[in-house]
Amino acid sequence: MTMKKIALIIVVLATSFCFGFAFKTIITNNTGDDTKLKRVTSIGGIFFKCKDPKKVREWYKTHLGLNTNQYGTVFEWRQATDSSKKGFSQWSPFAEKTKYFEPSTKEFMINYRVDNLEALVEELKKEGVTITDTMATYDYGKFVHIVDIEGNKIELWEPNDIEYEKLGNQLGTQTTK
Amino acid sequence: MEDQENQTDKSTSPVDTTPKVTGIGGIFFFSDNPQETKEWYTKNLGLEINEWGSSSFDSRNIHRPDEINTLQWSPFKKGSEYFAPSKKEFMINYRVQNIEGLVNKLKENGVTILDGIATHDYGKFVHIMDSEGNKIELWEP
Repeated sequence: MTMKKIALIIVVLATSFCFGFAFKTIITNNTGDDTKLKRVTSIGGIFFKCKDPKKVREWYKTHLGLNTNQYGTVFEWRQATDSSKKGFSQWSPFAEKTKYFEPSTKEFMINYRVDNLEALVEELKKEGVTITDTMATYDYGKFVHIVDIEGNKIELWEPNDIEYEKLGNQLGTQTTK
Repeated sequence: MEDQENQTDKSTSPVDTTPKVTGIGGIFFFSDNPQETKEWYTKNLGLEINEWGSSSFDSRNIHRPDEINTLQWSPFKKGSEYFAPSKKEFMINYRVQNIEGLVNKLKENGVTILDGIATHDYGKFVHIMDSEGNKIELWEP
């Protein structure tokens, strides 16, 4: 009698345990799918037009201590969600005649870092957002360009920060931090 | 190698008072309709707008990983006086260390400084002009 009771209790406990696991998995999967797409996670860069990009780079180096190279500078930081991972933001002055910001006629362009560019592009297409090119893939990340509600061209970047850092090291330039 | 570098950063940074920029603290830009722009970015790119009407991106300090740093992103009503005397459509806020030392250095260098250092709970601010008439906000959090 007692043995049977114990056996029954064990069976009941084991079953609830397994159900618990099953439910947890189902719930996690469901909510995970809904909230998975984090879209923009941070700023990946700021680009702006100027009359003399070389002089501007020198000015920021002399007066504000930016470690500039021929492209501008890279700001180095750590990711908020995982301090063991570094993150980078590119700062670059562009010549006034650049076509890089087109079709936008604005004086600036912002690069946004995203988690999953392919999924985001699919969503943006569904939402009717203007996408100006197809996704380009490099060692240091994937890129696509879109246009916002006021005609600002936006660069979306799913970074590979490890490769991006390697690239900077190959160029032999210091980051700004 | 990685660890060694991090340790060096940690041990040297607290005493590093070199007056300079260390990061981007904010990006502000003109918009015909800031409210609509914010809504577009919320809907399509997932930005969260805070009670001050801007979006705040968190990162961690490269030298001090426990320290959270923020970057403010905000569209401003086109023509906002906040960017004056710059005539540009955008303004960048740079995070700095040793703002007093930096302002002294900039004065010596003959850089145009637009105001005095203002001190708030969330940091010290000063505004300057760059070589092409861009107004810059310097912020020591």
